Amino acid sequence: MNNIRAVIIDDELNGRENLKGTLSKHCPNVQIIGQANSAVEGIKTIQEHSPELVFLDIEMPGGNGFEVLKFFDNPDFKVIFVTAYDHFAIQAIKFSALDYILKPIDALQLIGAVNKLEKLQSEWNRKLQNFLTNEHIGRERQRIALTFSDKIEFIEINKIIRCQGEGAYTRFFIADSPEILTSKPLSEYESLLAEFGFIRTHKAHIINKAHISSFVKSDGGYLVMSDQSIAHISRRRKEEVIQQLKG
Amino acid sequence: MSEENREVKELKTLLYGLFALVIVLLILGVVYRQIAKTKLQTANLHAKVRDLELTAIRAQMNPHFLYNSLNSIQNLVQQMKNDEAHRYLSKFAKLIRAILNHSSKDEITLSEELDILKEYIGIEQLRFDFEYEIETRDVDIYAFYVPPLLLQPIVENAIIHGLAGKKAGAELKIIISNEQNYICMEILDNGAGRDFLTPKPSGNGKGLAFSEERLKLISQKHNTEYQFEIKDLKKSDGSACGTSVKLCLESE
Repeated sequence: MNNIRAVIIDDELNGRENLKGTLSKHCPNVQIIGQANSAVEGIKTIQEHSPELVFLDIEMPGGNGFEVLKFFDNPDFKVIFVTAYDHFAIQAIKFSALDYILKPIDALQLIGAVNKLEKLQSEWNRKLQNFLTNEHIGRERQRIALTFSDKIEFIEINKIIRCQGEGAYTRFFIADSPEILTSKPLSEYESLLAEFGFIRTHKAHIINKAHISSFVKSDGGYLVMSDQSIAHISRRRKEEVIQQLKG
Repeated sequence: MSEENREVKELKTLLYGLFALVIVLLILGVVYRQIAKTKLQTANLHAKVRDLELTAIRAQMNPHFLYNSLNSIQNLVQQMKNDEAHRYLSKFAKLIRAILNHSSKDEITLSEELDILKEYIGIEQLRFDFEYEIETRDVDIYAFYVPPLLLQPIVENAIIHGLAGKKAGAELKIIISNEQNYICMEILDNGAGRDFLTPKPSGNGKGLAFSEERLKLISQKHNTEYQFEIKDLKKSDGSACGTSVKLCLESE
């Protein structure tokens, strides 16, 4: 394994020490060459040391971790986000399939994130670009990373017509594009897409409200989507779905 | 026709009209009341479901479990078992995170529920010596939904009141199966059984009643059926050899 030169940016000393200690034990190839306790100091430390990897805490007083990243137009380092709890930040990170670890640190999760950096080199830049673009543009233009069989595609959310659960996998139906079968269960996407006007109509279906062509009341009710495909509405969700379609 | 006759006729028409109007208003009134009543019932049901969610957090954040787990981890630190302490602390954090994340949701997938249970059981294994197994038979656990932490109190019961006192060979088994229109979740332990002679620890049964209540509410909400069954497992000689709790919900 190659050595990786890394810096840690975290406002709390305990946070930095704990991560450093855990790394030296479980990821000895990661060398910590610098530390910083704020976003501003973090930017300086990165400029000074040109690390290959940055462990970036998200919530810090006086500028959060995302701002550190946004400062560099075209970062030549990789990032693993570190967070104790931040729902929206994690959503944004997951949208671009970037890596993050949670506090307190789970050694296995840390090892997984570090190992992943060594593989899939070329994907990293595309993920990061997607993340930075999403941060800058309106939500209607944002793209979500869909990973499947070692590949990754960034799909504009408003082009997604519906998603269909197939066991531990999810099939995406996308306007003017072929279907994509990703290796995550539907529930994962349900929480990511809820705030973009997607609703669950059936145990195996979530649909994009903006892509509904018509609501057919016969046969217990179903939706015809913009690609003429049909999304079922289950009996138990019917009332709730109708409420959500009105709203 | 005389003037008088016409007046009588107009008066009659007016009376009929009024009568009809009163009838229509009455019907509207009854219908309106019925709708209001249904709405109120639905609102009450929703409120009750919310209440139980809150109780769910409180119940799961059972202080007894919290402090005892922390105590076990502290003991690992005491014994300088650093790696284990580290591992269990992250397990503990993962469990609390999952509980907090899911407690505001009406339902989560069975897959998510089983993930929480694995973390929970893993921590209890620090305190008690037992093995566990989760068996899924022909059920798509990613497409079946349950109220969050529905099974946790039952598993806790099986561990604390069933397995904890057993000296060796304690086993917990969770079986997820598909029975006609129902998805069944069975929690089995080979522990003391419910009718053993030593006095029962307090609190036994509260968790079960709580789970059954949530099962009932979710069925009411979906207008479906449910089953809840507790069985005392017996050896051929009639002595107790554990308990089975089985919950079944109609599949979607």
